[in-house]
Amino acid sequence: MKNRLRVLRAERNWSQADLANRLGVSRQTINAIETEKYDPSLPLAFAIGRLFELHIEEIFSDKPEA
Amino acid sequence: MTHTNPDRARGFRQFTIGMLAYTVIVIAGGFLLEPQTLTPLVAALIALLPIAAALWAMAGWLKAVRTFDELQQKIFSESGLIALGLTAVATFTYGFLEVLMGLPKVSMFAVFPFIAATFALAQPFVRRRYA
Repeated sequence: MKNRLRVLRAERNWSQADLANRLGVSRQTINAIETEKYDPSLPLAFAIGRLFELHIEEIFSDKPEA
Repeated sequence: MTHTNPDRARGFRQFTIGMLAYTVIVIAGGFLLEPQTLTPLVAALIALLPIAAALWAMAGWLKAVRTFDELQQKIFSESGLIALGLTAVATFTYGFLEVLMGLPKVSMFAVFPFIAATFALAQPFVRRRYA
């Protein structure tokens, strides 16, 4: 699943560890989501959305990039 | 995820104490008691005594693992499944060879260390899939 997590994180100058701490997950989990090797659960996706004040669809997309 | 999660520390402590208790009970049962002097029922009860410690240890392990985040739990689960699969294949294969080729009998006590070893070996490979 495609996502904009790396971009959103970079806009706020957060490291992967910063974001991991804010979400209560490991840095490896953030890295796996950013590299699209792991799709987060719905509760984690909602937590990410809340943190960035965006809807889930504005962060994650299951459509192939144009 | 912090490494000082108190529930995780409690879970791992329970696991460690449970496994130590299991080991002590098994060794004490093996060395101190003579089965031929006991009735079959008492001997069976003593033989089953370590199970309580092992179950308590397992509960501690689960408590600790449930404090991990979702990806870490997935890695643990996949590693556990690989360990169980490899153990099943290894025990079936050895069982056949034991019958067909007359290989020496291996104690059932070897099964748990085998699971633990394959679980530990599987983890880095599973972890690498998500790195």
